[in-house]
Amino acid sequence: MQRHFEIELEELRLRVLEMGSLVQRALQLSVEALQGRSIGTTADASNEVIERIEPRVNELHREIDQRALDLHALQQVLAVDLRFVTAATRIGSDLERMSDRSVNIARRAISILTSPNPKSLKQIPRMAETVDSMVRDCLAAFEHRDPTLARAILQRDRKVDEYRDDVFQELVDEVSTETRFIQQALDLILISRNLERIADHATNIAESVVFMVVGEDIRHRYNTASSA
Amino acid sequence: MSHILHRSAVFTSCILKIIHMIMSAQPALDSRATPETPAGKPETPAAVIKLVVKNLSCYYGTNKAVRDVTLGIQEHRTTALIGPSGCGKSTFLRALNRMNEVVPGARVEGEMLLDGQDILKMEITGLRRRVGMVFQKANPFPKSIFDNVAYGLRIHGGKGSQLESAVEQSLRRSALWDEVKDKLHRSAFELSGGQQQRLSIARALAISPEVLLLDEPCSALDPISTARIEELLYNLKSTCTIVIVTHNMQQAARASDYTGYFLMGRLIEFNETRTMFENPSKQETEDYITGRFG
Repeated sequence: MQRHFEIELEELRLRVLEMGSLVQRALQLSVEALQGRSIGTTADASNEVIERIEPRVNELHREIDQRALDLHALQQVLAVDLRFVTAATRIGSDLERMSDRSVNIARRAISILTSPNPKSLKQIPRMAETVDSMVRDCLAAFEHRDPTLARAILQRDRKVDEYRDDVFQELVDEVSTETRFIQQALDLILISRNLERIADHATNIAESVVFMVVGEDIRHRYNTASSA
Repeated sequence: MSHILHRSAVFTSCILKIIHMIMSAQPALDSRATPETPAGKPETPAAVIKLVVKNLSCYYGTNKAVRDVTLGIQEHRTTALIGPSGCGKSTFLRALNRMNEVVPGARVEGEMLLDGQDILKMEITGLRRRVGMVFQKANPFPKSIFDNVAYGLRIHGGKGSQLESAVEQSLRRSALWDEVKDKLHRSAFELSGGQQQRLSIARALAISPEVLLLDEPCSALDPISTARIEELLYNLKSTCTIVIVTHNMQQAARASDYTGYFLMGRLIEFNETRTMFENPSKQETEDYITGRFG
């Protein structure tokens, strides 16, 4: 017999998964909007992210926090359940920020589409593909309680940082000779920055999954190691 | 009905005998005076193992209630023992001051050392002077509040202002003084359940034990009384080593530094309380504390 308490935990898990699925869709749509071949398709994709996905993500963010609060107050969760509830609230916050970043990308998509494309737009989809794989895998790691998959995500964050640096450098080089690209270059720099931050949040989620499953706090280790 | 009354009378009589045994071990007043616990955070000296238990097994007749338990209880720390009913945690606790010896057919195997001294070879009154016990149900004597605390002290010749001072000191240490200072000569039965339990603790503290054993001391108390006793235990750590048996997982989490989980007479896991409740190392422990046991 499934107890009321376990049903509550499962409800919380389902909300995190729903939120994750929406955020992944928001990221994909915002990148599609960026690559749209017409104003119409770009506007549709952007509107889907801004008008439909983002409000639901915000709603789920609040609901996850409330459910976690209730579980602490009413069920006094412990051990594996305590780590799960803690991870769920952390992941909820990361997903909400990822959704905001996707909205930022979607908002700039139309501006990019109506302007001459500098070369670096070709780098963005490659970067987006890596970020998308990180988001997909961190959500799968959460769903299947898989710390190995979660740890593997951490390595890819470095690759995304490299992409961002490449995009920055390329755009700086470009605008130094072609001033008509300045507006677009700024948009693309901000887009690559948003993608890089989404990858950071996916990394945070992966770290939360490791904490949730094995109780090990691996946050900030990469930063510490690299600064040493 | 008469059968129930008879059993109740026998039980009460046993409890009074046990308490008398503890109190009769009361040392001279002046030699064991203990300073009042200072306000604020108690000082906790570097950890030392106060009680060492090696391969302890406890039997009631042929029933082996505790099976081959080995652990160390740290000085000036609170150790909680948790586990389902009948897991042996109370038997283990009672073994630490040989309280089980009053049960016919009870015997122990293994070794228990208090500061390196073999508990099983110690003179019983000396042991119980050093290792006090508080029971699940508050058990005031049918006497005044003052006389309850003074009971053991008087046996050892305490009187006059010295006795009064010692009673006040014990009541202060058990966080009861402010509530009873104006009615010390009223019956102890006039106190609430929570106050009666703190009176029991005051009586135990009057003999200045080095180790205080508590067997589910808050199980019949409301949350306010429970909070007072937990705070009291926290402050007592500076002068006492505390071992508490509790069914209340949250109490173990709140009030202890170390936790042992017992199941079917065995010590399944012994760990720092924080580790125990955040990331226990044994699946059986996790199943129990998350309520998935059984």
